[in-house]
This record gives sequence, C-alpha cells and structure tokens, in this order.
Amino acid sequence: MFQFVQKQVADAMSAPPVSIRDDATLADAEAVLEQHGFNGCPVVDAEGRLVGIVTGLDLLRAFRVTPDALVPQYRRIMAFPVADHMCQAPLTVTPDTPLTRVLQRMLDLGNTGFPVLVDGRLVGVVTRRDVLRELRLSTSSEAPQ
Amino acid sequence: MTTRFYTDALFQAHDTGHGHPECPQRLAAVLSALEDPRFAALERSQPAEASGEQLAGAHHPRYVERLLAAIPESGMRLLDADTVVSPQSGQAALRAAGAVCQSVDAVATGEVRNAFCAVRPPGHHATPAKAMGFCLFNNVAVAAAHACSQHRLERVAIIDFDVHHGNGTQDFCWSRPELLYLSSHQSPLYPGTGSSGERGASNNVVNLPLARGSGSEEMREAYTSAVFPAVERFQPQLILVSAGFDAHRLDPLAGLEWTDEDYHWLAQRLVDLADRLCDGRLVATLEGGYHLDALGRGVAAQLSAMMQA
Repeated sequence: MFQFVQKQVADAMSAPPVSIRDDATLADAEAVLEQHGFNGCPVVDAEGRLVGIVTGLDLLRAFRVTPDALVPQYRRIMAFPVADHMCQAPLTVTPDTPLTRVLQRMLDLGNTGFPVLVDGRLVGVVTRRDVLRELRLSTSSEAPQ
Repeated sequence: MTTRFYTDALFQAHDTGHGHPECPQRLAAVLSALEDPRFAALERSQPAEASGEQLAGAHHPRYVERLLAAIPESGMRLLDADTVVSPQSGQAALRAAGAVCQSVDAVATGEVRNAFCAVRPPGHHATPAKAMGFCLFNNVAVAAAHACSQHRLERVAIIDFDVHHGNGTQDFCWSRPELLYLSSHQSPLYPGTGSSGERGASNNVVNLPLARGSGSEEMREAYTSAVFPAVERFQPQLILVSAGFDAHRLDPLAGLEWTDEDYHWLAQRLVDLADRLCDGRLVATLEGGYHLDALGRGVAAQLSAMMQA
C-alpha cells in the first residue's frame, strides 16, 4: 500500500485524452461514449481548453419529458449542441494531485472520473478504473513485510 | 542573533523500507530546498544523542530500553502497521531527540535566537510508553521536559501544525500545567484523538480540528481566533513548534488544502509571536510532510521567517 501513497494523477491518467469539441452534437457525444465505453467525456474549445464534461446522464436529461411536447422529439434533440447540455463547471484535478486524494474525492462525490488540467488545458482523464489499476499494481508488487 | 539548523546524516540512515512515505528522501528534499543562497547565513550544526536523563523526562525508562532493544541488527522490524525500524533507527531517534534538547539549550542561553531541527524519525505520536505513527521518541516532549528541568522554565508552549493530531505530545502535556499544547489537525484522521473537548487537566490543551477539504481561510481563522490568543494569555518563556507540512494541498496522506503561502503566513506569525512574548525564543522540529517538494518549500518558508527575526 505504501507505493500507492506516492502515486499522482500523472502516473495513472489516460493521456492524451479522448475529448469532443464544444460545437459537437449530442449524437456525436453519444457515439464517443458508446465507442469507448465511457460514462462521460470532456468537452474542449478550439484551443483545447476544458469547457465542460458531458455524461450519459446529461444525454438522458435532454430527453426528459416536458410540457413542451407530447413526445420528446428524439431526432431533433440528438442534433442539439453538446455545449447546451454538458456540465459547465466540472471538478478537475492536476497531474500532481495525489491519487489518495482522487480516491477520496470519488468517494465523497460519486464521480467516476476527473478531467486533468494544466493551466486550463485538458491534458488527461483519470477514472475509477485507473485508480483501481494503480491500487492493484501497488499492492501486487509490494514485497511482504 | 542567528538561526541554528540541526541535522545529521543519521537521520537519512533511518531506513523505513521501499515506498514508505516517511522516507530518507524527505530530508534530502529539505536540504535541497536549503541550498538556496538566502539560507547561506544558517548556522548548521550536528546534534549529539539525547541522554538517558533527557529521554526520561518524557518517556518511561523501561520504554527507552525496550525500544532500543527492538532495533534489529539487520533488516527491518515493524513496531506497528506504520512504524518501521532498521539498524540505524535507534541512533537516529536518540540524535533527533538530542537535536531538539540542544536547540533548547542554545536558545535558552541566548546563544542563538531560534533553531530548526530537520530530524527523522518524527516524534509527536510517540507516547511516554509507546512508539506509533512513524514516531519513536517524542522529540518535542523530551525538549519541553528538558527546558523545564534544565533551564527552570515555568511556561513552555508547544504549537503543533502537523495535519495529524499529536496524541503523544498531548498525553505528555495533559497533567503538566507548565506546558501549553496547541494543535491544529484534520479530523477525522489518524490517530483519532484531538477533539476540541480534550482540554488537558488545567485547560492547557487546545485542539483545533479542521474538516477535510478546508484550506487557508479556516486555518487562518483558527490560528487568529484561538491559537495566538491562547499563547498570548499563557505568556510562554519559550515556544516549541511541531512543524509538520502534511496539511499541504498536495500531501498524499491527508486532505487539507493549505498552500505554500499559508505556510509563509503561519511561519511569520509564529516568529512574531515569539518576538512579542519571549524574546524570539523558538525551536521548531520537523514532524510529517510527505509530498517532497511541498515539504522542502514548507521548511524553507519556516526558516526564512525565523532568519528574518
């Protein structure tokens, strides 16, 4: 376990990360989530700055039945810009954040992952699976005491 | 008047095993941060071992014997789930406690204005009869006892800003009205003690638990509204500081969000407090801090303030 204490986000994150542009549609976003098996995906502007994160739940929310229509207009909704339906102020971490703190934040907030930023620019993504992998590697390579 | 800095190669020889967070590289990081020219005026000194008499001021003599007997001739031994000893650990621990006692001597006699001890192992979890939480001897408690017995001081304040509660120091101070122990620490967190209701036999313990995620604002408020006024009322003749740097936002063992700037702020105010109350007499000793760069910068902040006193 001691080795896990030394690990930082930079050791575990996926980089470069899969992301989508802020002018993409909900259909584009759904395709990326489906293709990679992701729960969510960072959204960036033309300069690579993080502007939000879109999750499967955000997509489902777009289809919520409202008083505006008898039946949600599925095809029309899928063409909506992702920028209008994403979470605009996602919690982020930096490459030097200790993984111990990422783990604690996942427990506190229920997040499945965090975008990794350097000066506002998206440089990676760290997920539950990344943390679990580092826990496994740290414990399996440890000499018995 | 100068600032003295005690350290010793033995402190890096205290081997805790691969990957252990309380590792020799911590001291290397501290020494590397002090290579900056602004620390050229530091008076660097090598400490001697604490005497049996000095250790007996804060530990049961049989504990000292048992601990030293438990040091292995080779390899490592676990004293508890966190606390590892190896062949050099006994000598390192003796010298760590010795460094803080010598600092007290130098400051009490006016030889230097203040002193910092960059030691390993740390001390504040060690109780009078038990090693725990990376700590073997309670360096700051041994020094406080030494200050009272050897220099006849009647009021010594111990301020502990390590992110973990100094349960061992609190135990030691509890029934000693000549000592005031003040600790800020994350709660809940190891070792689980340090609630604000724990006040000592004569209201001489002040605990300021801080919630995970709290940062500059909460810390500055706690020190301004509780720690500094309590020290002012106590009018210490000497201030001892358990200087742990693991409340930093990058530390892997805790969850507070202090910044480099917070450590500068705190260091400056501790020095001001010592100036105002006890002619600047302040001895700080290293406790925790497990992010190497943050630790180096924290110690540098503490020493910068002490040298400008």
